Amino acid sequence: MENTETECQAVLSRLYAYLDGEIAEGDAAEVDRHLEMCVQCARRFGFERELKELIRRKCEEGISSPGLTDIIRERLRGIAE
Amino acid sequence: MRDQRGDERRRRFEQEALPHVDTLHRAAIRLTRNATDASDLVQETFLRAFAGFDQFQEGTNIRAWLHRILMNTYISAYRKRQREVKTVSVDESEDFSLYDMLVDAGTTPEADLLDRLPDDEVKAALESLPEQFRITVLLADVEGFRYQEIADITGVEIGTVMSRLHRGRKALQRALWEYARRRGLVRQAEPWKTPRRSAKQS
Repeated sequence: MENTETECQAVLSRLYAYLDGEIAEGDAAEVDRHLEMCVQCARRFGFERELKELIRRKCEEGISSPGLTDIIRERLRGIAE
Repeated sequence: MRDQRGDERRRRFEQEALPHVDTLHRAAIRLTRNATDASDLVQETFLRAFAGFDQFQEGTNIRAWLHRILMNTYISAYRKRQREVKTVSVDESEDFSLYDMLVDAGTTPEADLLDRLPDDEVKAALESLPEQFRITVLLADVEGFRYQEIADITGVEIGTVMSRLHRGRKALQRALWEYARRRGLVRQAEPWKTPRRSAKQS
């Protein structure tokens, strides 16, 4: 099908908006339809989705600060109203 | 004589804002790259938030509101204190696609591969981004804010958010690629071979 590559291009250009949940429902449905039929794009989308999730997971942990909330609470109480 | 209204206000603030201390601390660590500064930054943020609590609209997103104050406090008080750290060039990375690089290296592009990178290296990759891009990727991918929320927090247009996010993510992918190569997780592409620019590259 001649249209395939242009179609893939069009879908790929929406990759981030789609993964970020920032595209309209109708557009999302179109992307879903394409991904059902196009293995290449489905793989690409799957990879980018996992990568996004990986970054979240790995960067989510901070250095723990168990006392910080208490410190802040104390400081707030020390403020004269 | 204790001021009842003041107590009430403090109680309300503690109830609504304090649950977010840990998430703000996490963001502060990514921003300041320093545990002491992060702790100070968060404390100052909450003090400022408390001072401006009357301006907070009940029922709106308090987490985003707190993040905005965090960003402003960081920019006004902490950014200058940072030692100069080499950051990656974002412009170089605009077309970079980790997926395509992995395919070209003959590796099945699976995120499992990258899962083998230690947390510290992924964090370092994020921290190697220039500040505006680091902040945007942090707010989107780690903190899960929507584009409009990020626009509100950082005080820019939504189009700018999207552009920074796109370029920031590409730069991050490039940084991860470099780490993966250094760790021998991917075969080094022959130096004379330029990455295939496929029509599929976004």
